[in-house]
Amino acid sequence: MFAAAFIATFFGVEKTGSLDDLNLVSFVIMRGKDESGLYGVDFVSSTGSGSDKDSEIAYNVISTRGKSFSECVDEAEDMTAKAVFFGHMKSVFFEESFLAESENFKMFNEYVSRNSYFNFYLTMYVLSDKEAKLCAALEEGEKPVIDFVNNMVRKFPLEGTLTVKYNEYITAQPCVCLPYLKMEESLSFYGTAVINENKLIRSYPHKESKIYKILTDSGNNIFFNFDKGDMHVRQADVKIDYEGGLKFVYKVKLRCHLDAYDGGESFNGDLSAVEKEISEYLTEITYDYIKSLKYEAKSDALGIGRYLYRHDNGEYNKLDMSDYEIFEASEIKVDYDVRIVRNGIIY
Amino acid sequence: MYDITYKQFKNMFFIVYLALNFITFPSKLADCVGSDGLLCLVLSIAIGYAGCALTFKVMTAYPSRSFIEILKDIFGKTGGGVVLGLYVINILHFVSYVIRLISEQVVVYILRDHPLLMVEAILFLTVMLISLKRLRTLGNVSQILFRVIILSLGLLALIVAKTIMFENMLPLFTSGAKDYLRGTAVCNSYLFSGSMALPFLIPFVKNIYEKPIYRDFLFIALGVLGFFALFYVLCITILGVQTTSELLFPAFSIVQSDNSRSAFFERFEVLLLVSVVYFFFIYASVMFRSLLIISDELLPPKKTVYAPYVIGSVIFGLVIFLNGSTTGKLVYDFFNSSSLTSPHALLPFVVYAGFVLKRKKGESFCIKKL
Repeated sequence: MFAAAFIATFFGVEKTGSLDDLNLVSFVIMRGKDESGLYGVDFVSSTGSGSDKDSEIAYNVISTRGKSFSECVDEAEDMTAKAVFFGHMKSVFFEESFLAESENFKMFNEYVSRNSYFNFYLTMYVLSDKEAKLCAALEEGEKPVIDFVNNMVRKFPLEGTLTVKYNEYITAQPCVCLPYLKMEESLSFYGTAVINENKLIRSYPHKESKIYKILTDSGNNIFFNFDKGDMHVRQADVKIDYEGGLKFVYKVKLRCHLDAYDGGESFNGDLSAVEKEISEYLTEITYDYIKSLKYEAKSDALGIGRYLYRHDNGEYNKLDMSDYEIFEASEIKVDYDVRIVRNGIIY
Repeated sequence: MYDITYKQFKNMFFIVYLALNFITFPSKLADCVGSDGLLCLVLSIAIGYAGCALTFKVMTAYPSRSFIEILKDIFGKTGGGVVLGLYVINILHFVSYVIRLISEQVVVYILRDHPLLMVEAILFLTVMLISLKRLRTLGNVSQILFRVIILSLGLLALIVAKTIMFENMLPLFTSGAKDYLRGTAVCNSYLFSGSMALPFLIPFVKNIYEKPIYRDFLFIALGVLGFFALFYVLCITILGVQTTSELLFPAFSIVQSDNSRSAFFERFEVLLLVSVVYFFFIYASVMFRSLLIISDELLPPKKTVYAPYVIGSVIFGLVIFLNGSTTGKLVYDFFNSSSLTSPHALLPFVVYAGFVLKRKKGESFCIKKL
């Protein structure tokens, strides 16, 4: 045993490398299969050190192709002669083509659960970038893109934006919305993407995405522009009441700052009228959003089926319906209680 | 005569009870009962505590005797030998199992390029070195590590608490009676396995019979329940039932976080990994030491010097056996699926039953109280 200990220590020390031997991946971009049936994975690592805050941050991209994620990792290691290290990875970007088939995400998920260095708090994004412009922009050092990516990857994502972590995604199955990014001239938030059984169904722009965030995430600092003004939700509390017979009531309490309001000549400074107006506006777009989810996306993104499964398991089992069927058959009411706690310019 | 203080003894056994399966049990429990595992944990802890309490009752009745003498008195020479043999087999199994488990963990998380057997050899060598020292060394180490472990586990729980989603615990109480029984059996297979070493170490604890041992061990059992329940709930609420049951070390997965606020620690799981390695050393050393105590009593003085090497070789042989993909899997499956009547859980009850029968017959020679 002494001999074994000596051999293991000796060879172990010899094999142990330094940080320079590791490719510390900040995030990966997963791309769908090409004509030859190979997945594309871009491993993006930052060159700025975590402790050196003032240094210029740039990103290196290693683009690989392979039959699986594992093969792409091997290729990246061969290309750089460095081991790919996922211990510091913060995010994963799924290109739209990757989410075209459910099987693709399963392949990624299998690798994550086998690899002990992945953490379960990775933030997940859907990316529209068919021409791989993002990688080119990162390599060329385009500052707006790099700053945007820094916000997504290095720092905490901005308040008010939707963030979905890997553990939240896997526990919210089968249907969930992910933040949706578009790479055109620059990288920007477009809204949310509905993912049903690991497959991209459709995307929604900002207005609907904010409603999604309020209803599912009770999010804070969400900005809205309505006809006569601007406001932002400082605090949102959501409670779902199940009244039986597939009738659900969302009771939403919003504490808002009214940043600007133009009530016209007839406006007498009565904030309760403005609160009512905002409630009506939000109610209208919420019902439109629910209708769209039911009949266009055909996906239970709000998690109504999952809510019933968790809170009234007996009835859920009795119904013997899929989550979407429950969502489609359910009658959903939304009751907004808007309170303006502070206001800016109103006239 | 006395080697360790009562406080050291308590700290040592708290760690020993936490040690085995702390990182793997949420997976097995979630597989059996989903999110309803808390009830199984309570039942397992109750059975484990009952085993400890019955051991104390028997030992208290024979305050000046060793456990081997007590077994001989209760069951006779042959019967006592058989029961002692069962204790020894269980201890051997648990030591080899824990060496295999911790080495697997080290190979997965730290020394990725190292052969499993090498890591096992190094860890076991260290255990042997600790065990060959005085028992007080082990007691002192436990006393220091107790605080480190409690602090690091508490800190980890605090760190990951912000990611909890209690919704994942729902729906509750949907499992059937059979599932609950299976879940309890799975927990019970390894929980409180440290009790095997308990009766052998009691005679080495200073003034143990004058202390409130039942009350203190109840607190220990509740503390163990608290940590197990906490990490089980954390696993389910963070990862969900399905992912928890699919992962091998779910407790590690929940603390794997590379958060910019954690730059000081770099990776949180290091805390848990260090704690688990401490667990392992204390657990394996206590179990190995109890085997040495048995050999000291059974073998003539001249031959006891060879005992550590023989016992060590047997344990290492078992470890190699467990490494075999087929044989190892068979042994794991057997013990993982063992029922409430798994040998180690049953043994204290068997000893106590024998003791009560003996007392009824009035043949016992020095029963003081019961």
